[in-house]
Amino acid sequence: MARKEFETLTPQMFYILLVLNIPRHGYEIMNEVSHISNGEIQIGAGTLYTLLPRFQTEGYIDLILTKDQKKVYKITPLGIKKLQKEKTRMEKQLSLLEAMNHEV
Amino acid sequence: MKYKYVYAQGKLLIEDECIAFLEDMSKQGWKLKKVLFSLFVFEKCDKSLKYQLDYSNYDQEYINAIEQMGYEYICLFNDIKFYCHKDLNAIDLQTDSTTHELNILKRYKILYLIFELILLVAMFLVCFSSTNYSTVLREEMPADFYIHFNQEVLAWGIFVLMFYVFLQFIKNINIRYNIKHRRLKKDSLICFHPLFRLFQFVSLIVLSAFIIFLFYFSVKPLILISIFLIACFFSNISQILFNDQKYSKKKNIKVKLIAYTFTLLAISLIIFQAFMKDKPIFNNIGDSKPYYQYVDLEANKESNLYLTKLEFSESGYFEDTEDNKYHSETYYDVNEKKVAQIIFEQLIIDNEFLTNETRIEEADKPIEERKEIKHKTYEQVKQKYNQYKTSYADICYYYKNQLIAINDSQILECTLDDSNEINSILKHYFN
Repeated sequence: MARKEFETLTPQMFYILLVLNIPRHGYEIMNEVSHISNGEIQIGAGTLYTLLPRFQTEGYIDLILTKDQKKVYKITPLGIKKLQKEKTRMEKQLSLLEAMNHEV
Repeated sequence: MKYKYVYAQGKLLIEDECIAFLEDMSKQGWKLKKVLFSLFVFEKCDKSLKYQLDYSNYDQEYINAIEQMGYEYICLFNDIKFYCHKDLNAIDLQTDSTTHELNILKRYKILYLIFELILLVAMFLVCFSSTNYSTVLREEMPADFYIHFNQEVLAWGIFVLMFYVFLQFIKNINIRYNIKHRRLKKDSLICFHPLFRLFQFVSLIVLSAFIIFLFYFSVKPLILISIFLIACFFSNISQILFNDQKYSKKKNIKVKLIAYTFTLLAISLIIFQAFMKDKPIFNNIGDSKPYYQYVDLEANKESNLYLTKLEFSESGYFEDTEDNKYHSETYYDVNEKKVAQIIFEQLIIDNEFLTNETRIEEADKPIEERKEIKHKTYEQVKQKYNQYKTSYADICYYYKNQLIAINDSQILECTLDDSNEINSILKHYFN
């Protein structure tokens, strides 16, 4: 079930991986995602803290250190690969959209 | 400080309805303080609040993060954490429906389903292996219903319970299936703990056992109270069973629920009144000594809503006469004349059937050659039997040493060797 779950990333999953280019802990992730998406994407604490351990078991992110009861994560090469895969998927969608040439 | 208590049960079933209810209460100036077993406790507050429920069990960092977001922890109930936020536009705790559903599914452990299945099978076995239950439910004669009323109630009670467990079982399977296949819409996610439902079931059993106990000892005034309790309880079950549109249509729901409960109560009261009409609380059993006092009789008294049955019987093998001896005196004190008539007629029919010569002949033959002998109707038996005229009973039949008599609402059935004693035994019981 877990494998199927990450076959395509939802926007929230995508943004979590995106902001982990530098080590961050949970609350920072929430703020950063909200910041870079101009408040468009907001991640609830429940969702975030359910996803982080799942990403870790999938190998997309790594737990770097724990201080003051805060777990700091960073993206792994596997996670970057996943993002690249997501990029090609989106590019494909974009090129298809352009090729179809919808009239506005 | 003033507190307000609201009965919670049905509202704890669906998350969005629960939240809608709590937010509605905060608009009216009540803030959730805690959740007791099936009660919401509210205290006064002057702000509208946003509520969130959380099921995950993460570490301190998670709790800190929630608090940093501005959520205030209220209480824990059945693994469900209640949070509130002063800002109505705050971010939800769960923003991704997929992870949310997974969290909820975790609570529906397959263990509960297995437990319910075992319970169901156990009850099924109890029902159909015990001769008591199956024979009670297979009785065809209407009089048996009155004579064995207590066992009847017990058997049907068990069946109702079984049906209830079965419904819950189906419902649990349905919930599991739907969550697993992502069929539930976001607004119908469940936050109701299965253990809570188990508690409900157990309390239903205890309540029914209590009522059956009361029936058994015929403590009639208390039966009234317990029927009240059962009616209240069932109205809550119906809340759960028919919960689906409850808090989405906010208006008139409370009114409807109250009306529903009261209707149930009223119906149960009317039924009870019909049952109890002109009935004494305890039957006057009168002289409870057997007529034949010189033999060692076994006394047996049974009492239910309809009648009191007093039975003296003796059976044994006597070496000197090389004979099986059987003697019995059964006296019924019935509360209703109509019921007494039904029982009397059946006793006559049964007596004819037992002493029927063709039936006894047939019983000696091998099973394959046996003809089936049916019970005769009361009218047919009446023609066969001669009525014994006596001033002590309304109708009295004496046939093959068996005396059956009815006087008003009292019935006597006994074995009697000497027909000269009929008058004195009738006088003994009917006066």
